[in-house]
Amino acid sequence: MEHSFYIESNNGNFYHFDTKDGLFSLIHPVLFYIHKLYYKGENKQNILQTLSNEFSSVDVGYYFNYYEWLENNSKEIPIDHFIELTPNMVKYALSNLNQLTFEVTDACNLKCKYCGYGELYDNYDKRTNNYLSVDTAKKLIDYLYSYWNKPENISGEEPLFISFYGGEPLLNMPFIKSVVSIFEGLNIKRTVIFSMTTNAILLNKYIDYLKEHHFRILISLDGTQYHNSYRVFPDGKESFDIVYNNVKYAYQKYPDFFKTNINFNSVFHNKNTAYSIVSFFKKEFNKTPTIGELNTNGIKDNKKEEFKHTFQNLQYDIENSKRRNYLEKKLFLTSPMAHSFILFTHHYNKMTYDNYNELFRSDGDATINKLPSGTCIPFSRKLFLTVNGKILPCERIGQKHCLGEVKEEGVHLDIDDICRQYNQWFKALSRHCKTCYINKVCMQCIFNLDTIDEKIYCTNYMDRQDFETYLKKIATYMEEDPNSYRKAMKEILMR
Amino acid sequence: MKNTMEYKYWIVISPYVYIVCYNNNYLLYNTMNGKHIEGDDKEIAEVITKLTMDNAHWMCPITEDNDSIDHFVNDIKEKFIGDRIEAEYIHSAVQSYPIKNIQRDIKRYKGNIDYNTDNNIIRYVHELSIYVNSDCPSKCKNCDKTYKQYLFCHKNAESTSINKEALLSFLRKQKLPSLYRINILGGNIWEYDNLSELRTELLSFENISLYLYTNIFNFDPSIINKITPREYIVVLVEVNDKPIEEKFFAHEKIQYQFFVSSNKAIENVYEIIETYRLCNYQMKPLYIGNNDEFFRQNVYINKDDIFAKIHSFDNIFRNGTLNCNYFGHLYVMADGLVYSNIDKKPLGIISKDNIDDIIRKELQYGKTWFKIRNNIKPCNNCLFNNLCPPLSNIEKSMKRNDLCLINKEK
Repeated sequence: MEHSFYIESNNGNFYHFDTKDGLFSLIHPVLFYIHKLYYKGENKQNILQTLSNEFSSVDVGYYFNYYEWLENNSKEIPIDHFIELTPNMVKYALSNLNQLTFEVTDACNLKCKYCGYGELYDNYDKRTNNYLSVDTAKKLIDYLYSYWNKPENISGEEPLFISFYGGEPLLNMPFIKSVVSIFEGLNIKRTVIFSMTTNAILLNKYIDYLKEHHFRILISLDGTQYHNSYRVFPDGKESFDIVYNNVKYAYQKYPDFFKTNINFNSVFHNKNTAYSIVSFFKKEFNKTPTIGELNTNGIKDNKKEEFKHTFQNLQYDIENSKRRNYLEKKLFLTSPMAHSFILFTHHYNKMTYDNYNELFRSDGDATINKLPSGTCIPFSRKLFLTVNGKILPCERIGQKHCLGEVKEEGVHLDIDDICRQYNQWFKALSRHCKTCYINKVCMQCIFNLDTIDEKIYCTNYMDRQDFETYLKKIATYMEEDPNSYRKAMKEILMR
Repeated sequence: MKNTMEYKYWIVISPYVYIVCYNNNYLLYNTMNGKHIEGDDKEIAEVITKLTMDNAHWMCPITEDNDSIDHFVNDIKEKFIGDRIEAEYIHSAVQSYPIKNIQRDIKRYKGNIDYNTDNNIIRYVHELSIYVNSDCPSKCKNCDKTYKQYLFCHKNAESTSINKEALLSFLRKQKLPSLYRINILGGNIWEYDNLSELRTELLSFENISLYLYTNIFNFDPSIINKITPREYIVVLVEVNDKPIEEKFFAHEKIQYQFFVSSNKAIENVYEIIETYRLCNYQMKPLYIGNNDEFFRQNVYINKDDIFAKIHSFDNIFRNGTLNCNYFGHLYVMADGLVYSNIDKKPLGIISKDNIDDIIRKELQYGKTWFKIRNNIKPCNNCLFNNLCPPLSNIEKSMKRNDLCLINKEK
């Protein structure tokens, strides 16, 4: 695999990028042309002769030496092997769990057209208006509590997020209150923070309790009445007026709490635009929402056309908006391109260190302990308990891929078996990952590959040419937002 | 940054170059080949100031040529430090430039309501030095001086021994994933009643090596037969102008550390090394209050020393962030008090405190792990402060921070 790239940005500037240090160096065009000719197989003499027609021969000679020096210095050990998932990694993740999410109920007082558990999809357990029992949750909490008391728990006072998810979680308020009271009685050193995602239909009823327990609340709302019109009641009636009034009520009753603890998430689709969403929330609530696209996995075969009609690409919308700069600035972290840029910068740029210990790495140390693909170590981000007692590493994963269950007799989580299954997938995928140029920054979760149950292959694989195109995009993005590099390096904390 | 027709060309410094500029003095250092430019030309200093401003991306447009800029351009090109690129080839260009980005830098958490600190600070314990007792029959002349400069045995008037149970309970509360070395010191460690049990317990920690420190006067070579594979003996020898009478043993498990305070002492050490064919040894300069000249001759560094090796950005950022002589090292004294530097106030006590609370205290308020040359006089205004070896307790004993000849070379 090559490590040294010479690219021309969309604005016509020339850069050298080396995967060894992850830095873009602005270069003289002669250097770029030398590389192009060299890559075509031209010898030194021909290159010097060809370029001397356009540039001074002294310059061409100098840049040829410079080119050779750069190439000699650009030696990197490629990632040609990946580590395997081990039971200790999973146990460590459980001991230091960041977020425990309960699917409080699969019932919902809305029937949104694009809902991930709705008519467009078929990769979830059948919705039966179930309510998660406190007993099931308690079994899981007890199980995890034993991990949290092990010496492997090195999380200190790091927050532990206890999240409530649905369906609509506020439909099962007794469960929420019981779990809150369990955690308030637990002797754990970590700071427990409660959070929930809600459609806000019942927000006015429970806001006092949520405020009292310092909940972080994420409200789903897609913008104005028209933009929000996929969010409807089962009878087809729009939900906007009720949600809007409830949010205003919370805003007026607890302005400080609203400011610090309430945020919004909008789904991006064919009825709204990034700009319409951002300007609505700015005007109405002085907030910037997160914006997410529709889930592209698990679409029913007979709904693919409808999905195609509803789905919109957020990045495309931002890039083609007249207010692109405004949106990039406002959505900095949530804009897909900015996110991709930050991720790229943090993974490739060798001046990024996770912690102080990395300052001690030996020069030229390119050893990367990485699993194939961008799949997380199970439970390293969160643990999701479904209403049916299934244990998943994330709520965005199809429920058929559950890793364990909470049963009558207790928690069943076979860590050895989980590792075996993951390693099987990884083994099949690693032959792609080994030669993929973006393998350092990969975000591809294996569970989001449609081929996971068949002959697994990666749809985001990048060969040399793809990577060069990607670098070109990154360089152009930096040029168009000259602050982005400084911001990514100085201001962004990736946790 | 907009291009204007009046710009003739741009000076572009490559992102792998380290730049420092104080009061018109500047240094540009190529971290890939070690070549550098040092100067004090006002005009060049202005160019450097401009190109290192936020968002200048280490590029500076030039409107007029002159001799000093021409000379500078030739110099940066020759050393592959940077380039001159005609304005016609630059179209709102940017590039990467060095920004130290430590994601879990404690300074970045200030004011962050979700994260008071890094979660995994326990990983910062790399080395533990445990003083098991304070008794010793020997009467070494520099006992009070040596242990303040180096890891060295030390006796107290008051006889104390560490509480083994309290120590082990303190160390076992949390897993110490980066701990790789434990040093056992005294007093005379061989007189500590629980030494054997303690060694066994400490060796049960994963991936650690155990170093037993003993003064040569207390060293019985027969102990070598009782050393396990992950144990080593460090024999401390203070050498002065007089010949040493003790015997030495060339053994892979025995490391001799010679503490020298004069040129004659160095000669004596070389003689010992030759006589006994020692290969596992270290020689360390000891300040005894009146041997400044010895230090000037043997320890003080000059620019040639600094540029004798190539400094990577990891190296430069490390020196600008933390002190690698101290970082990660905790001392547990025989009375149970825990220090990051025995010359400072204790951070806690093994019977009451958790190790992560102690680390947090050092990270947030401590004055040892982050004691760097950028923050102390006179090094704070020196161009080479991030290329220099970090501060140690020798500087503290000598009451001067700049053990160097750089200012005198000017």
